[in-house]
Amino acid sequence: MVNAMISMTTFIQIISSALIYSSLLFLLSSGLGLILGVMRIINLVHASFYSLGAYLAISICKYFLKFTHNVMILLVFLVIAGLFVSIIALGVEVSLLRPIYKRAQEYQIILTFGIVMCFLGIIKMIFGMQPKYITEVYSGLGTLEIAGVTIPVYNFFLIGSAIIIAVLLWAFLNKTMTGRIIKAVAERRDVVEALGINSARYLTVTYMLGGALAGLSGSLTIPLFTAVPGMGIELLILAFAVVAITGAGSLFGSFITSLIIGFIRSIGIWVFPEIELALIYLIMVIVLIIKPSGLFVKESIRV
Amino acid sequence: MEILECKRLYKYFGEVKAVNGVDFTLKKGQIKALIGPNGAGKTTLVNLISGYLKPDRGKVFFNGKDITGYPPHKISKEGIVRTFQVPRVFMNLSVIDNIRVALISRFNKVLTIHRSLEKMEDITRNAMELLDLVGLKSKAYERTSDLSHGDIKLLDFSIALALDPTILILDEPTSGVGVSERDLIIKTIVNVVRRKGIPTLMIEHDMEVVFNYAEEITVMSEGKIIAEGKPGDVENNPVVQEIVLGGARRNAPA
Amino acid sequence: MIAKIRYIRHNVMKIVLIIIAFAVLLVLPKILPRYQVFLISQAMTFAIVALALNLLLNYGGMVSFGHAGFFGLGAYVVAFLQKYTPIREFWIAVLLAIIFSAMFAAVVGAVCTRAYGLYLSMLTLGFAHILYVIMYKLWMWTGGSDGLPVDMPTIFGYDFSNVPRMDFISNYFYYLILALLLICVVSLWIIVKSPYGRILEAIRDDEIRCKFLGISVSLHKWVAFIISGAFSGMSGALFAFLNGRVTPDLTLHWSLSMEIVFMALLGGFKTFIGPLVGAVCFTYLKTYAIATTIFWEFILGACLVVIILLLPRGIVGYLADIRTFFAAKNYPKEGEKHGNSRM
Repeated sequence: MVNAMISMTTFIQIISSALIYSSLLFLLSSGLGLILGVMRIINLVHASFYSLGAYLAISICKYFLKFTHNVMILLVFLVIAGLFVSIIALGVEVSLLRPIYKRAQEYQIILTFGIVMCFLGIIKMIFGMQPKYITEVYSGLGTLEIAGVTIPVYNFFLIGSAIIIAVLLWAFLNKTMTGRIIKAVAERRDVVEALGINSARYLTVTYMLGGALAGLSGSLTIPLFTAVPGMGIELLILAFAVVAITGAGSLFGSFITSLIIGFIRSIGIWVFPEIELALIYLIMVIVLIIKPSGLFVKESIRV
Repeated sequence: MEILECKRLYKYFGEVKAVNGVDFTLKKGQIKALIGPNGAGKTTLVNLISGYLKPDRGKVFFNGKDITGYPPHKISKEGIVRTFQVPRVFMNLSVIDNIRVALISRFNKVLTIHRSLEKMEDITRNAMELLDLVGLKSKAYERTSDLSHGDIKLLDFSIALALDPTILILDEPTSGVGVSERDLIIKTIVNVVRRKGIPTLMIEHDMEVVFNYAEEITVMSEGKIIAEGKPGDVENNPVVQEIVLGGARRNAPA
Repeated sequence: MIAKIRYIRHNVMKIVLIIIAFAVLLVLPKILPRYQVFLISQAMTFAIVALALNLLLNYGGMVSFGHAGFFGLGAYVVAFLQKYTPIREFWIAVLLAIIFSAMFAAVVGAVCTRAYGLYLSMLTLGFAHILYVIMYKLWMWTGGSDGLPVDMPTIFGYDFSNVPRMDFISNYFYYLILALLLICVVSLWIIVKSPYGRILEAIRDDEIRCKFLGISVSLHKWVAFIISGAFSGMSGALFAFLNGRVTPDLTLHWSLSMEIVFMALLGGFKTFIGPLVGAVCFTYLKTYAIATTIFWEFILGACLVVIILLLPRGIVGYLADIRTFFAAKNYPKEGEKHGNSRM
């Protein structure tokens, strides 16, 4: 079953699909991990933000496709759609999550579950149940040939965007005042409060940032896929596994883990397609047993 | 007759020498107080004896048996029972259930699934007796979270008693309560302990309590024992006065 | 004896309610349309798994987001039994479902007793999802996303194949589920009131103190997992027969785990009977939401959100609050035992 000789074509195909998947995973899991690390909430609504980003991107692009066929402009709109989700996240955080910060964790998670359900209904209402797609953006950029393999240019755009976003995120968290306060809140929220800083505001910013990341992961990858109302829900659990393996709050770790899982999946699909997903969850369980705080986090989160 | 013997105990936390070569004994029928400034190593010593921590060097003997390195539940079964500085009680259970849980463990009924606890009359009776000893019988069916801090301290103590201890280690039994409650608590504890003849080690900061009730005092500072003896001797020891009792007096503004 | 009489007098209203409820439940299949009876059967099935979850959640202080794993495993055991063996006997199927779920719970529990808080929850979620993926992907053996069919069983060897399915479900099977629910409730009540139950609660409140009391904490938590898993497996088996079909999305998906937790929260997880109430209410809520509109997820989600925000102690807790509000006017007189708290 396993072919001993890997041709250059297969090799590049594997790398290409792995990097695409890793980009998606990274964008999705970095936001999830950020929210978990700073706010100590398992934010199931992330699934909805992902879906919303995708659907918004489709709607905006479809609209502007009537006026222009310049794909570059459409790429910009993709980014805008993703970022717009942060506004929705703001609304969610302020109205629904804030009241229950003081409650036990079970409540918080079930609440986010309820919100996911709501959004699922809302998405169905607004966008309908039919699958949607904007492959025009995907094909509109043309393709490139590397070693005999035809790779769409969009792939490079996606991977490049993921890298740029990773760098920007790192810069934000480590070089800006807001970012560093957010990191401090993740470590010791009470100390930050004692310094006279309104940590609640920073929690909101974090949530918006997480929402933006989820939205971007939806909007930037939707040209490759088809949008269905429940798309975020299936993907969420995978992002969750990445966060569990990485440990919440480690941006670098999230990057590496996404890469590793992307490659495991690509290679796994090529070798033995059926079980590759279960493998990832098995890895997650093993990691949680051996090092509950995750591979890239030094000490355990105070949960 | 030494019931508890600690030989050359050492415990380091990185650079910090929390317990730095301690030889310590507890004799039958004794009430001993362990005093010293904060960070002297008193609680660490107690943690070593009760199994919460393992010593880096040295041994602990109980009734001649080497119990060094035993985990907490084993040491508890051996007969060394401790309480905690911040009292650890079961907040969501009733007062009497706190005692009953200890009794269930003592009588090895922990995995009894098929009989109702209420029906186990000997456990309930025992629990009531213990609550009576500390004066909490009237509050038996109240929720523990409703109790005052002083009552919680007494409950903590009676949970320890429920295990039929051979020796008792009490970590600051009167901390956090007002003076009158403190007197009540310490009198209750000492009465019970004397009546049952249980050798007791008390970590205490309240000097009034120490000098009124302890038969022997051990003074620790910076991981070592710097003095040991009867209250009168210790009180007059100049080193002890400096470190524990009156150093502040010297530095007070004239 | 005197204590018993006093107990009865104190809880007269509760006991009367229970007797009335039971009598009503016995009569229902005769008076209600068959679909309603089916719904109640479904509600009772989920009541079992919700109560099982609560053993871990409330009495053990362990939040499990993976109970669909135990539930679904029980369901799939029944389906596999029908697919790969000629055995059709109900009691054998249920027994095997319980055994396999208990074994799975033993594995999960062994790992989870050393984990706390969010990690514990993530682990349970992970384990359950592994099962989901396996059942989904190994379609050659498990039927994949379409799942496997489940036929009517024989009960004590008695064959019902001459009875139309709906009649069977809304009559014989209803009483079977009712009886099993009763057995579950009584068993769990005994367990919770036993010394073991009290120790479990003590572990929940202060694990370290328990260690110092000579209690082997891990063992007790592990046992709780196994008990919870076993009952959940039975619930899954009942669901398999009731539904006639077992699929990964219906029985193993993590959203089902969330729904089970919600049932416990909805009813009031700090009480014994809360999860049962929650399961019943949720079943009706979901069914009527689905029947009302294709946007049923929104209705359900909105209800979840509203209930979480407004009813922090669940339905039973809320009713207890109302009762306390009225009872406050008749504050306990001198000498009376402190309230009726669930001790």
